[in-house]
Amino acid sequence: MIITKTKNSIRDFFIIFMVLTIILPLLTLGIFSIIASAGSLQEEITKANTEQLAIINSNIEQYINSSIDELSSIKYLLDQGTVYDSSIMNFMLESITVSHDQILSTEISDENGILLNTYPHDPVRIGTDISGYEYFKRALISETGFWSSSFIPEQLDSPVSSISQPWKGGIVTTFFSLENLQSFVELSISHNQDRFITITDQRGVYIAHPEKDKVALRENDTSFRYFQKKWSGEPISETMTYNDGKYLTYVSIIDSAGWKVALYQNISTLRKPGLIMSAWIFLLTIIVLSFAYILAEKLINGITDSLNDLISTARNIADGNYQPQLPSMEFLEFNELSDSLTKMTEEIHLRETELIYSEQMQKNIINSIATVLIGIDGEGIVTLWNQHVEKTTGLKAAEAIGKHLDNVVPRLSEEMDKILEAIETDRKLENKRIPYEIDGEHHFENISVYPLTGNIRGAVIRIDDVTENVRIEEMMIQSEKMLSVGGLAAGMAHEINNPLAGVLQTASVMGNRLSDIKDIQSNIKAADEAGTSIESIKKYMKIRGIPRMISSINESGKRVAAIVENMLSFARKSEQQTSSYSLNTLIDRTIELAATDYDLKRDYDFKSIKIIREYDESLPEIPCEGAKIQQVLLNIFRNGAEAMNEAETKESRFVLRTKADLYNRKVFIEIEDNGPGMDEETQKRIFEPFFTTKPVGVGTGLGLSVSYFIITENHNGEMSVKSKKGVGSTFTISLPF
Amino acid sequence: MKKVTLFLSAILIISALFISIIYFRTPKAVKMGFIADLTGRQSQLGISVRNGFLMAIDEINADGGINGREIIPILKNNENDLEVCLRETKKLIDEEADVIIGPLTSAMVVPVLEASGDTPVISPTVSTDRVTGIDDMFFRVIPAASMQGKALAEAVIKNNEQKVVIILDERNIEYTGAFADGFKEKYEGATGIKLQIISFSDKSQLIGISHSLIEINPDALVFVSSGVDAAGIIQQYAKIADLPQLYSSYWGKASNVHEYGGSTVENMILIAGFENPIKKEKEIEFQENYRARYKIDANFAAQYSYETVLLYATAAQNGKSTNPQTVKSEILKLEFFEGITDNYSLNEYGDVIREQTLFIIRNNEYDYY
Repeated sequence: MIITKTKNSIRDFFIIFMVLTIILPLLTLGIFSIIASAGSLQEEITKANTEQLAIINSNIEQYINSSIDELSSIKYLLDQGTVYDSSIMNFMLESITVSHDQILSTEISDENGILLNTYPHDPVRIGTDISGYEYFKRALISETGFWSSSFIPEQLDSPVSSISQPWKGGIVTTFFSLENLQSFVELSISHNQDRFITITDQRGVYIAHPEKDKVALRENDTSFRYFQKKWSGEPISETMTYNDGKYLTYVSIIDSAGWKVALYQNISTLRKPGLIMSAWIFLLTIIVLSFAYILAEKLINGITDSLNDLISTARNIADGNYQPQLPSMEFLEFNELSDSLTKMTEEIHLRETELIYSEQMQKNIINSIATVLIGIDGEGIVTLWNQHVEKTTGLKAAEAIGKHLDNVVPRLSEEMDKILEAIETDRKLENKRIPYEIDGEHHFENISVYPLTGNIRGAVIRIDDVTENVRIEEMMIQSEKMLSVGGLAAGMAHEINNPLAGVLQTASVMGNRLSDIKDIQSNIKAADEAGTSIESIKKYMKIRGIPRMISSINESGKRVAAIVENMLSFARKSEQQTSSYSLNTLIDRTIELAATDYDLKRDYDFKSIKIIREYDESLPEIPCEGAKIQQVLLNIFRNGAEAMNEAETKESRFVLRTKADLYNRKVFIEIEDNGPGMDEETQKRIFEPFFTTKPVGVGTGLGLSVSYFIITENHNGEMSVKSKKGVGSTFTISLPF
Repeated sequence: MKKVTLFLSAILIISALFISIIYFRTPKAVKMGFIADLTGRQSQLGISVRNGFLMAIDEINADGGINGREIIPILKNNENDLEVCLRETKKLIDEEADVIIGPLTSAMVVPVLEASGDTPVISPTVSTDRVTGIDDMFFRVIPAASMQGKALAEAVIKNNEQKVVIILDERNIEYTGAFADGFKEKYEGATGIKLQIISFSDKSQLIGISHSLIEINPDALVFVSSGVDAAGIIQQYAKIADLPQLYSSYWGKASNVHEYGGSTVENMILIAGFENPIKKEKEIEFQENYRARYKIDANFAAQYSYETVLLYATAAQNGKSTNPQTVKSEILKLEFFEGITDNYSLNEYGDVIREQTLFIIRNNEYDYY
């Protein structure tokens, strides 16, 4: 089971939970309230501001219309009059100008722009040409009159505008102060950060502004063009940026003059109630959170104390203390948890005991297997090392585990790639009869690689020493081969035996009749009938050597017969003359026999060979044919002695061992010499009939093969040889009992 | 709890880093100071200069500013007062203005240069000869007043005017004096005829001057005054006697003498900044934009003011810096600067070398003379 470890503590979780369950609903409620109140507030403010704007508009219209009305009355008089009367006009201009605060001056010019009358009366100006002025040019061609854009005359510091209307003989113009507009702005709404009004002329230049400098400096309202384009007769409401602040701007344009009246409502005002509400909600949240925190702290402490006790107990359990002392918990649920923990501890203890036993058992099993078992991971690092491999390599598990297989079993280096490939491909690998040498001796082993199943990458490597199996197999093959050769030889011998008997018998008769001719009647009669005498025949035979020839036939025939007799023993199970013998005694007798053997004595002195006896004195007597066993032993001694003699082995010796395997009910005889030894090929063929290393005619090559048959066929035993060139040979005979 | 604190701290640190990165990555703005007469007698011209100044800044900012830096205008009003001018200029320096555009009148150049130190000052309209031929941080795009006077004198000479009277406004003597000197030098040098100079320093003197002029009965009157003052004299003159040939300095056209003079200023010959008979595309575009923005036609003051901003922006852009010396070097390095109406260059003293045009008022409009 994979557990994703979290670093969140109950305390953190609880705090987040509190925040979410307390703050979020409050926030949601707050935001909803703010939005709702802001919406209604905006509606109210918009309504109030629109009304305010309408009032201001109305006031301005009234303000400028009074001037227009007065101008229209003069125009009317001028148009009605037939003769221009300067004094009447002067009076008219005076009455208009004086009766209206905003009117600064009024003037009448003719169609050429020559000033006819001005009020206040200015004789310097009267008679001058105003035809260059825009208001003159525009008014003259206009039917309804012309509003000039504002300007600040040299002698004033507030803006002035003019309205000109054409009359039949020129234009009449009134100049009126826009200063009162400033008072509209200031009186209509007290100037503060929240709300203010501006008025701009038809060119977008401020003519009234809470910041008077903007008027004096003739600053332009940059939004003027925008609103002028949008103007459709109805007040416009838009959010605008002014002096880095956001304002809800209500705009209307006074059609007659082309002036723009703008009311700026600071958006923060709309947000103010929301902010106040937010502050209250925040305060409320803090209070609720504080109470909740105090309660939660007590609860959390209770929980965390209990948990800490349980954690501490769990750690003790983890450390192997299966007798935990669990304190009493504050909460019922934790007491239940505590009981469960106790129960769990007992079960863990039980399982661990079983697990340890099981593990020990597995370890014992692995160690008991008389096979090399090595566990490796996917990179070839040793993870398992059983006792057998400790014995074979001399390396303890502690030394080998964690090291690379190459380093601890160097002879597996060549196999490493295959082993890793087997792990990768998850295929069992078996390499059989891999040869190797220990101290010059050839050994064989089977290497099996079993990739681990499941998700773990690795393998178990089993190495079996099959040297003995190989040898046994080879021996069995040899045995089979010898059996077949022996059968063949026996068959041949049987076939030879009958004619040979005839030959030998005839040779014997011939000897009787020709060599040792007896003066018996039948011989004398036969000589007579042949016209000779017995003496002549004897004499002839003697001269021609016939008796010797016949004797030679007899000798050769007997020898053949002896060979045939031996060959027949390959197949024949002789009628056994078995009785119980002590092998140690039989060996000693054979040694004595060999020492007195004429043939042995003839060629060398057997007594000069050192005999070392390593007998098992508790060896039981075994049922066997004593003579036959002696024959076998004698054969081995003879061959060994001959070999040592030929090789001129110094301090030649035989080591004779006997031992018993009571379990398998076998006794073993080992005859070890320190002669020249044999090569592999010779070892393989040593028991074959007629195989000899001696010169032709010296030996028959039947000695050891007959011995082999005596042991294997006649006694159901086993016979083998181990030899090493230049070191010596060891014959091993095992006999059942 | 510790985790929550850590989390909040992390958010604060990240926010602080983010804000710092945003703050430090925002290029520092170029502060462009402006000083002119925005109120008072010369305010009409001052407003024009300010309009051109602000329009140029808005256009440059819309195109990405100077080397990616936004231009922030800082406006100051010198109220046609030398002390106020000195004080306001010092304020601009305190507010770390990278450049000062202004002043409007030649009279104000002294306090401005006194306070500006190493900060470049580029004036659209100051033409006094006092600052001509000096290797300093003052630059201008209008020819020196004496050059204007000489150019107008050539026309007067050509018209074979014999009895010539110059009427000048003493209140702007830095300009009017230099103009008159240039005119006088050229005229008297060429004709050997002494010309007469009448000056005034108050509006109340205008009627008296007009009467004096009638008595002199000149062949030509040369006005080195504002349009309204010139018209004030001419209107009174015209009421009594036939007018002689009228001439005017830059100031006349700049301050709409045709408006104040009406028919009385018909045929007045005026020297003014260069204008193409056939308007250049750039000139048309400038005029259209200006009219759309301010609902009036741009005069030379607005145009020159606009050009001063462009000149500074070009120099700072080329030098990739607003360092005063770099800007100066780049301005002087310019082989020519493409103005609204004409190409011009500045000599090693920062004085402009550009053409001038003679106009004549016909049908109350300015026509090429």
